[in-house]
Amino acid sequence: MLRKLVISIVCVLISLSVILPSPAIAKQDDGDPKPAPERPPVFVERINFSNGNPNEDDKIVIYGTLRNNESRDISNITAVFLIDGKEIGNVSGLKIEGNGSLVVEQTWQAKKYNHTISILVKMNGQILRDSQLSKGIYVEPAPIGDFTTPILLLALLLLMIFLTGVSPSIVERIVNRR
Amino acid sequence: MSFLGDITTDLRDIFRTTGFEMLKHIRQRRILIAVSIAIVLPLIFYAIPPLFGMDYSSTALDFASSNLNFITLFIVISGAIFAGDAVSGEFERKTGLLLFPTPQKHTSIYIGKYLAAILTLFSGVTIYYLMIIWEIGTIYGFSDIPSELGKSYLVALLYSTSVIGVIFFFSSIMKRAITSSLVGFFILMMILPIITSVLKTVSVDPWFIVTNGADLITNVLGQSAGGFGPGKEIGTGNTITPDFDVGVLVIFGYALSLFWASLIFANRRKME
Repeated sequence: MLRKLVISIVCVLISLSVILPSPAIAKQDDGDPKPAPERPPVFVERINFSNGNPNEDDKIVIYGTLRNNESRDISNITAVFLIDGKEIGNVSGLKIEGNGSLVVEQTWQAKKYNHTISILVKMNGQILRDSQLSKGIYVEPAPIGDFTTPILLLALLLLMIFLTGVSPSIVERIVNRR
Repeated sequence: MSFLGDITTDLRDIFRTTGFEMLKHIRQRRILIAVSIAIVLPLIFYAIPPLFGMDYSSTALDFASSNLNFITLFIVISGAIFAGDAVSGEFERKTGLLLFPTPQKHTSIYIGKYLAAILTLFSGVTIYYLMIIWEIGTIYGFSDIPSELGKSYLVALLYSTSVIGVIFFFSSIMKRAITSSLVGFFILMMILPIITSVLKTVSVDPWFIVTNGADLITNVLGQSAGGFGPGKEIGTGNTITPDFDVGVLVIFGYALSLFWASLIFANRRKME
């Protein structure tokens, strides 16, 4: 009996050690910081929202600040707006002066829960590597339902149950009168 | 006897049967089982995270939502316990031979049984929600108790009536109590959720299925549905969620229509 118990406990401990992640595995990503990638000629410097705490179905404006990293003017730029990796719109034919910046915007009808909003830059139709910037946003879901409807339905159900309970007497009374 | 006297007698008979049935549930320790489940299930969510050194959900709503993912399971289990043998048990155990010859109308007997099942299930659901409220109070503070929890509670009560309706219906048409309990349980736990999942996979809104409306118990909290039990699909990737008004009306429709159908079938049954 004791032997079986010991074997069971050992089995459970082995299973737990396999299921639960070990600190060595959890920390395997902790290494030396990688060197920052070299900036492309144009990149997204900042993302702002017209409303930082939107509710579901609110229309919010996403602002992206594009920065020209070079001293010469750069034209034929396209800013692409993405929500959770899916394109929702773009602004094309942009021109940014040397060392200057430009703000682009896109309206989005907010959908509930967490989303990642990204903007990337295309030049001459090609995506510029490391030009993308992402920012998370949480959209408060619209309230669902009300208190009145379930209360009314519960009351109505109880009423119908009691009415059904007394209905044989009512029917009997009507039949007897006839 | 006067008309009012007839009605008063009917109501008194209904309440007497309800009281008797509830006493039966207490004596058979069914209420004890249901209350134990209602206490233990929410306690799992309260006790497990600290035991494994994990944090609770970031918000009280998240916590309530994950906890309530199992309330549908609790409702169906308790519904099967309380209503499974309500009618079929009388015929199977031949106790109806003593009960049915009494001057009391059969309708009032069945309604009393139905009400007893509903009231006991309501008390179980209430305890489940009180446990969640207590847990939220101790973890996040009592001021953080979300008002949406009240809405969820009302939908859970409404859903309980339809679950009792489904199981009571099978109890009134089937011969054996165990069969009626199991059929009702599996229809609510497996068959209807599978149909719901398949319909959602082919992008058809299963608004007419009662277990789909059970999703509203957690949906009203504003959190995404998940977990196990009726109306919970794991990993289907669909985004069809029930509309609140349609959902509660469908639940109400099931409860009322199945209650009436049960009465019709139960009244037609004869002791063999």
